[in-house]
Amino acid sequence: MFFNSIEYFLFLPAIYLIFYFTPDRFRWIVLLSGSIFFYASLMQPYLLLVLFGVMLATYVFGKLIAARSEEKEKKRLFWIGAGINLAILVGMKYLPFITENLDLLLKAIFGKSIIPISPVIVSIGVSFYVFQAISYLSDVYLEIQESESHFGYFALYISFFPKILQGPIERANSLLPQLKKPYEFNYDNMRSGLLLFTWGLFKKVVIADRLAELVNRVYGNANAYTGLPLIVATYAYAIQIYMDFSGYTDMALGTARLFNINLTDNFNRPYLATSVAEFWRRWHISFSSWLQDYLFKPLQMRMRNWKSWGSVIALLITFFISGLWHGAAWTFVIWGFLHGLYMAVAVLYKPLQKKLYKKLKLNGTKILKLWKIFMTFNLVSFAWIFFRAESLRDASRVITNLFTGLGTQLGSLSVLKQSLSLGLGKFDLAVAAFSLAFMIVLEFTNRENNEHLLRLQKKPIYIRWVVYYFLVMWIALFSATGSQEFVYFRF
Amino acid sequence: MKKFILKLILFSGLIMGSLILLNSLYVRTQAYRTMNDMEKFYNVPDNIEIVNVGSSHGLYAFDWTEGKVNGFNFSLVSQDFYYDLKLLEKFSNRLVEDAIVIIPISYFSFDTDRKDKERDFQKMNGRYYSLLPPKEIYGFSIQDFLKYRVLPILSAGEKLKAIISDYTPKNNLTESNNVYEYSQLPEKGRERAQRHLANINKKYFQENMNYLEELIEFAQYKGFRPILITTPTTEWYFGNFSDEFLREFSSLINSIAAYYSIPYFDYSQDPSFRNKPELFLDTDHLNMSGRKVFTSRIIDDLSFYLRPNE
Repeated sequence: MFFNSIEYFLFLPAIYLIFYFTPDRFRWIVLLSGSIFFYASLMQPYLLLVLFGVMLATYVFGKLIAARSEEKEKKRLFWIGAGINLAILVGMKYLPFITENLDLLLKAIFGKSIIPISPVIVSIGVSFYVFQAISYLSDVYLEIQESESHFGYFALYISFFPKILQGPIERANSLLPQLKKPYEFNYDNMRSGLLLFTWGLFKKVVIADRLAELVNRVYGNANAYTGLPLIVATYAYAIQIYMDFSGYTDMALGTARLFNINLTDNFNRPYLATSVAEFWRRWHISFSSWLQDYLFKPLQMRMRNWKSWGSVIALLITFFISGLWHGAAWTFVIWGFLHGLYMAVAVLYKPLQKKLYKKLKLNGTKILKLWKIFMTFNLVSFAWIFFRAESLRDASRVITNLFTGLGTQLGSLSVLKQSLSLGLGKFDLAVAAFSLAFMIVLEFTNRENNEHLLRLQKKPIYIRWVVYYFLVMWIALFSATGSQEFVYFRF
Repeated sequence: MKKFILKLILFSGLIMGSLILLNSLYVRTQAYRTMNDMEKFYNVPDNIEIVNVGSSHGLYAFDWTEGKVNGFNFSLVSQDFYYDLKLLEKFSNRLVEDAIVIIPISYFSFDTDRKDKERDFQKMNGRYYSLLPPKEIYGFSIQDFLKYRVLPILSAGEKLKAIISDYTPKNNLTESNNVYEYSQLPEKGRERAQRHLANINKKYFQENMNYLEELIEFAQYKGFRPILITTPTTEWYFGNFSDEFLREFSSLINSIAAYYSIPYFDYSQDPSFRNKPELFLDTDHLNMSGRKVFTSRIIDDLSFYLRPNE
């Protein structure tokens, strides 16, 4: 059951009504059983066992850590708890990757296969709730968070259905207290929750799914294209993945808000970032702050004596892990490593950059800001090639042919037209272009993520209803024909 | 809560009302009614003596309107054996007892990939929602049922404009010329053959073969006489397939025909068509003139099996 499915449109009002008519002290049971039902709808029974394993192990180790006073013992228990979670994650997601690469290595040495390659299994959501579980254990160990004594609330914290499949990765001190709060019907939350959900749906089914058709066509047959189609598909993917993931997040946040729960917003107009480091403060925020708090900072602290080089190494390790977290493939590893490299170069180059801007008197100018946005967007888009390509070979083909034949393509109107449409009809192109232009205006005029929705809610009812009406009709009439899976479900 | 629910009901009513209104206007348009050639299935005649199923190669190869025999064309673009079977099952009571069922088989008929081309699959699959019961729809989903059957306006896409200004979508079936210049044929033929070869995906072979077998067995069970046919193509098309490929294909279809004791006629390299681009729409689909010529030829070739239409 996905957020953009008819089943979810039936599930959500049903669970809400049961929740609403249930007394406060039993409401967690409604949400927990709803969440388990939601996760079970993926029809992969072993995933329920994995979820239960993570819940139980994390709950027990959280209690054990909190019960000990000796630092050494606490640390040992933390590592066991985190290790169990990581073992589950590796077992679910990385075993095929590890065995496949090991097999290749052993084949090169001994000339024959020695170990069996583990089959790929569906692990939807596991990366997200395992990272959440580790953050909980860490917070309990660092005494930022008390261990949760009520298993039901703890299980709900791990499995709360709006965020179980694709995050946000919530911290215990933010989500747990909200789950325990008595519920009171809140008109504003209902309205803004539904509006946010609808807005997310628009991003997903009108823009992301439409661009996916173009991107899939090119990246699905990367061999057949050169020049402009590859450039168009790469930029289109940058927009597709943003609309897809931020659309999903809006739907998750909108759903949670119906229950008076505020989840962490994962995005803040990331393509307006003026550096790759800033991009990561605006993109998948719950994940990047997790990396920063639980990986980068501890690593940086350990290597503080190495000054800038300490930060550089910490960045490279952090983003190597970030790439691996996204998927068990070398394409993701290189994608992560590229981001680490961008930032490492920025760290080393910063003093020189400062001098250069000062000399050119560019500091604080709009031109410089636009240039930085442009450069960051291009660096990020370039890295997406590895993220989207189906193999390293495909990625290298795309990069090698990115500018091949570009001159001819730009020189002929008919070839240019053909290169730009890439299987989308005039209608689809017009809908995509109009919706995108609308989004770009909003991104530039908003001062924070989805600010336009807040502004809208302050408008008189007749304006609001007209906008709601057109938004819903736009979704109903102009959704892309082929519905696509959310990109981040794979992770 | 009451106020909220009231507003929600009112708003939902407004949206539903608008969609129902637009839908009722849309389903009356020519653009919708003639879409995908589905209209013909609402006027299937009785006592059909000869039918053909199949994909675009079948669609463009047979024209039974001349009246020499009481025939009907069940083909649709990209239709696979599964839906050939389902349509034959649905309309079998319209066929005479010993009717001839022509099953066109193209070089890539066994390699149709369904789920891999999500968008095309949904579109192609969607057209059957208005014709067949849910249990017969491949990968039935409530969402598609709503989109294609209950409120087709939700899948109208660019055909929405027909509500404002109705039009008849361009139909290549009425085309009597070749869309390519003579000089373009080698390149276009190569492109088409390469595309068809590139789409070949052996993982669908067995599934499609099973449906073909079911189709033949169903036809025989009903007392119909199935006949396998490969429709004419030009040398600019078939010339791009290796001898080995063509030999394997021919041997496969002949073995199926022998197993079921049914005839197989291969016109794909027929000298009367192979170098006559004026009979084709492109390099492997017949145009209106070619269709008439080929249908007459088929009626002659099958005269042994056919009863004259008196």
